Formats: sequence, structure tokens, C-alpha cells
Amino acid sequence: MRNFVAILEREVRSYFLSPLAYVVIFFFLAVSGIFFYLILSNFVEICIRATMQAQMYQMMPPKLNVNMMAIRPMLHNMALFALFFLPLVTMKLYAEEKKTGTIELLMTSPITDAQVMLGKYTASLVLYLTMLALTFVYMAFLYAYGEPETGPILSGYLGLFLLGAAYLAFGLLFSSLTENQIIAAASTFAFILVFWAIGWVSDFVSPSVGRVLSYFSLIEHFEDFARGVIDTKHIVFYLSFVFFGLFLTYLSIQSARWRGAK
Amino acid sequence: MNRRKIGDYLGLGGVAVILIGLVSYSVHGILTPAISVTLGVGLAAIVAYGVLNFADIRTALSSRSTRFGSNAVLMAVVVLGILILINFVANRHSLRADTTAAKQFSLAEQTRKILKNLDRDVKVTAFYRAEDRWQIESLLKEYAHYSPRFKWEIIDPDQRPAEAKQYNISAYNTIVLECGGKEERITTRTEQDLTNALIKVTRKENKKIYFLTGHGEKDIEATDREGYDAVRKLLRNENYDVEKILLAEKDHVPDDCALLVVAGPKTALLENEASMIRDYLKKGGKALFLLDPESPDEYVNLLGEWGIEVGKNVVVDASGIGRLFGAGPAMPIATQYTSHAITQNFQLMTIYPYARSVRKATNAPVGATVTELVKTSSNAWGETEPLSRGGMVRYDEGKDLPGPVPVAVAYEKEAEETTPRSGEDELRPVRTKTRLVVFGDSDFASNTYYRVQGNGDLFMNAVSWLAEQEDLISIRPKDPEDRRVNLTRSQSRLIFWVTVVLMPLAVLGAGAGIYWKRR
Repeated sequence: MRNFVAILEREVRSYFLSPLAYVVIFFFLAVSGIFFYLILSNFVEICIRATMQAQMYQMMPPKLNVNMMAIRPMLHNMALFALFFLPLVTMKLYAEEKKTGTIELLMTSPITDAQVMLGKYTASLVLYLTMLALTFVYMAFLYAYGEPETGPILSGYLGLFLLGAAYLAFGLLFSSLTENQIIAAASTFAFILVFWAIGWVSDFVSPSVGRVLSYFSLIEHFEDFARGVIDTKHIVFYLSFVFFGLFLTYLSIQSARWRGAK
Repeated sequence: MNRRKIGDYLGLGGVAVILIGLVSYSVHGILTPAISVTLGVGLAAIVAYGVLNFADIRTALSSRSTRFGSNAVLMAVVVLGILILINFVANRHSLRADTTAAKQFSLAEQTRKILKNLDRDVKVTAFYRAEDRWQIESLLKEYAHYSPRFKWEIIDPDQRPAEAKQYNISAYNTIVLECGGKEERITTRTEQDLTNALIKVTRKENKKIYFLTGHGEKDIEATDREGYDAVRKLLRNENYDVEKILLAEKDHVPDDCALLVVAGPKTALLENEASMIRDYLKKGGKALFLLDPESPDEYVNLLGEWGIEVGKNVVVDASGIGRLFGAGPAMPIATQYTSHAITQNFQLMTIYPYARSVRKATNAPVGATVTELVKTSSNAWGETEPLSRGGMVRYDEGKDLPGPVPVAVAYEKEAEETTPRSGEDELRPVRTKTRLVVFGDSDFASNTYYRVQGNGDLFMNAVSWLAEQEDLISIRPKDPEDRRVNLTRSQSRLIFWVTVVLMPLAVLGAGAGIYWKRR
């Protein structure tokens, strides 16, 4: 435990003392902020128009729900931005150590490979949680000027966290396979993209195959969270994804040990 | 070129040939002889490589790193297998919590009960275009969540026309439910309609509809102009069993009678038949009467007991709309419908060749709901004088019934005695309501006229209200709660500055600060 905390601290420190974290968070917030502003303005516009129409034609105004029409699309957008930015968060974790040779020090220290791996992984989660926490400002505005439902917001953020955790686990794997950070980021991005879009082919294959493929789709499982439905099967899916990514990472580190000790 | 080199080339070539074979297989979709040969050749080349380079392979296999590598692969496969198993179980038995305030994504209690009690597989096929898929998918998933027997599939009829042909799909957004050889179709996507279709399709036995015979009624097997063969077919398609019944030789209306239809009788009802019908209705029976102007008075008197006044007249329509359909003045057109389960969302015209009026009597029984369903235009009236050939008819104040003339009535009342029905599963309620629908005409549903405008639809709506309503459930659609955001111009500007400008800049500032400090 102490070793794990030491690694975690070391990694978090290296994140926030290097420009990388700030650049990633800056871009993430810039894009998210623009989208939030546009989606919210659009929703307010729709509300005004609906009220005017209802008065003009003497009918019941339609039900407009900020969670369904503004927060849900925002959550989907944030899931997409995470796909773009999270590979940059994990790319250096192992690749940099390999390049500078510090990996040797870690490997010969009394800290186990699992502790190192979990420390690094948790550090990337901390950075991701920081990104998500900053977007609570958007929700605070909605609470200030409206009455959003809290349940779906919480379930949406839970979904975002799990989805990001799945991205990061495989980002860690690709970082452990190479010493080039660009290759690590690019392959992570490509891998996640494939698993993001795998459900789209379900229209072109037989229904049973399509159902299996769309089960592996990362975004398919996010939909329920975004709507405000928490289902244990989606949580199990994301946790399995995370576990498998970390397990493969562990194997790849072990095999590096073997290859080193030929 | 030594043996080893040849082996290497053979191995590489074999892999390449197999790849080519697999790609062409996936392109063609069938295993042509040429492809089989290609795959065979590739396989043979790889085997040859194995034979020629046996020694190399053996040393590679026995080296430590390979052993670790194969071990790692094996472990990864095992772990993946275990995870898939866990997911499979988690998928089958999952807990769901709907956090929305309006419980938008939760199915009603009744629906869940029906799904939990499904004891046979139901196949649901929704024909939706790919871009409209989302409209129905989440609902179907929600149903499937409560029962593994609920199997669903969404088919784009444009992409897969063969299936659409098999199912005779003529409109987008049709949902077909199949169970044990039965079939139900709906074209809406509300939970209420889907659940009701599910109830109908999973019914163990079909509901029975008896057509009274022996009084010159319309014949359900006759294919001539006047016959009811078309109606019989419509009812068959809706999973009803249709039979004739001669009440005169029985001592009561059969217990399995879901609906008794009396269609255009020409001779009088016997006294014992009338009392059987009375008994049946008292116990929560359902009957549909279609009486023509020439139907005898016994029927009129019988219905009078239930507070329904069948007029002794012929409805004449002077509006002239009928001309559009080649109808004369004795073919009243109805376009006015009172709001009722039967006429819900019903907007088509209906036409009644040679009809009499049917009204709510002033002395309706206590506790009964009598609704005048269908009315003609105000240019029609109920003519009390017999129509003579080529003669002129005109409206006589005081004698004739002024328009709009009602030509159909629905009656509903709590049954006086209820008998629990045996052999029914607990989901099905006992018959608790007496229901009647009376039309002042039987020709509108005959082979000639059932296709005209809304005639057939109205007839079927009446039948399904009579025979089905008590089994079906009503579910209020769940809209999201109304929660809006209204912003003044200055509030909107504040949000813009904070979210789009300030927050990203603050992060950059923090980063720059750290950078300077470290330098």
C-alpha cells in the first residue's frame, strides 16, 4: 500500500509539474465549454419559441426537460472529447520511463510490478477526475438558472468515469508496449475508436453477430447512463474492460522482464 | 536455395494464400470450389513449411521466452473467457435503477408482470429504417430486460427487403409479434400498445365469436354481395375463432362466447332465445347487434330493456356527399364520432346503406353508460314513412327524427352477476362488464361495403372493444418532467465568459505559473 501511494504521488506530481496535464485540460475545457454554451443557448432558444407558440395557438406548451435536451447531449459530447484527449494522458506513463531508462530502476526496486502499474493507472484516473470535476461548473450554472434532475446528472458522470477508466486502462497497455509516446497515443486512439464504432456494423451483419459486436461497443453501454438509468450490467462491462486492459499491461511488463533476462 | 529457405517461402506464401482465400470468401459470401481449392493449397503450403523446418520450430518452441509468451497468451485467453462468462451472467441478471424523476425509462407494473409470466418465446420484429432505429430500440431492450423469452430484432425494410416481403410489410414502423403460430401487428410504439399486443399474441386460446343464425342473418360463409365472408376473414386475421350458433337448439349461450353477434336478422327472435341472450348479458356478456330497417320489433323491444332506442325509420341523407361515392340519399354518410374507446383517433368517413336510427333512450338503466357513437350530418333525418320506389321523401317536422341522426350506440354497465371463469390463468380477469354495441345497419360491414372508407375499421374497433377491452390494460405515456432554463441576456453572457473563456485560460495560467516557478 505504501509503495502504491508513493508511486501514485510521484506520477501525479510529474503530471502537474509538466505542461502536458495543463495543455490537455486546457483543450478539453475549451472544447467542452464551447459545446456547453452552444447546447445551452440552443435549449433556451427552444424553450422561448415553444412558450411563444403555445401562447399563439392557445395550446399546452410541450414538456421540455433540461436533462434530456441539454445535459444528455453534453454528456455524449464529453464522452467523445475524452476519447480524443485521454490517449494523451496515458501515453507517457511507461513509454517515457522506457526511453529515459528509469524503468530499470523501477524494475530492480523492491516495489512490485503490480504496485507500479496500479499507481500509474490511479494517477491517470486522478487527472481524468480533475477534468470531470472542472465541468461541474457547467452543472452549477444549470442549478443556478433552472432545476435539473440530480439523479440523471450523477448517473451520467458515473458513466463518463467508467468509460474513461476503460480508455485509460488500454492507454496504459499501449504505453507499456513501446517507448515512443506518439505511437502509444496513436495506437490507443485507434484501438478505442474501433471499440467505439464496433456497434455500427451491426446493421450489416446477422442479428446475432450484431448483438455480440454491439455488446463490445464502448459507447453502447454509455447510453443508459446518459439517460439516467443505472444498470449493473453496464458497470460490470466497463469494469471487465478495465480489468482486462490492466491484466494485459501486467503481462506485457512481465514479458519485458523475461526478454530482458534472456 | 536450401531446404529451410524453401520452407520459409512456403510458409509465408501459405499464409498469404489463406488470407486471399478468406477475403474472397467474405466478399462472395459462399464457399465456391475455387475458394476451397485456394484455402486447401494455402493449408498444404503451411504444412509443408512445418515439415521442412521442423527443427527450427522445435527450438523456437522450447526457448524460455516463447514458453513465457505462449503462457501469457494462454492466460490472456483464459482471463478473457472468464470475463465473458461474468458478463454473460451479469447481462442475464442485472439490476436497473431509473433515476429520472418521471420514471421515463421504467415499464409499468402490469407490463413487468406480463413479461415475468411469459412461458413461451415471443419473437418481436420491428421494421424500422436504420435512422429511426433509436425510436424503438430502447423500449424493446427494456422489455427484453424483464424476460429472456422476449426476443427482438429491428429490420430495416429498405436494406433487407426479403424479410419485409415475407412479413408483407407495407408501412415503415410496423412491429410484428409472433408466438406459437399467432401474429399481432402494431404500427405505434407506445408501451400500452406493445404490451396489449403481447397479451393478445401470448393468449393460450383464441377468443370465440358466435354469429347468431336461424333468423335470416348475414351469413359469415357467403361470398356474395350481402355476405359476411370478408368480416370472417378479418376476424380470423385478428386471431378470433368465428362460429355460427343456433341458439334455438341450446339451453344457454356457451361459456366460451367472448362476443355474440346478431347481424341483420329478418325474422323474429323466439322467446327462449331472447331470455338466453338476456341471461348471458346479465352475467357480463358482450353482444353486437346490427339491425336493419326491416329487422323485426322483437329485437327493438329487447334492446329497449337496456336503454337503447332503435328507431322505426329509415335514415335519409340529403347532404349529397354520398354522391361522391355513388351513394343515394338512402345511404347516409357519418363523419361525426363521439369520443369513446371505439372511435379513438378515428377520422375516416363511414357509410351505412339503408340504415335506421339508434339512440340513447330517455330511460337508460341506472349505472349504465350509453354513448351515441356515430352521427350523420345535420342534413339527414330519420324518415318514418316507408320509402316508395321513385317516390319523393321529405322531412316532416314532428313526425320524422331530425338530424344529426345517431346510427350506432355503445352501452356499458357493471354486470349484475359475475361468474368466475374456469380454466383461465390469473392474469385474465373475470367478466365484470356487460357491453353492447348496436348499429342501425348490417350492410356497412358486408362484402360489398366493408372496404369503403372506414367501415371495416369501425366494425373491427367495435369488436375489439367488446371482446378485448377487459383484458387489455391502459398505460399512461411517461413524458419527461417539464424543467426549463430561462436566461436573460446578461446571464447568458456570464455563462459564455466563464465557461468558454475564463476556465480554459485559468488552466493555462496555472500551467504557466508552475513552469516559471520551476525555471
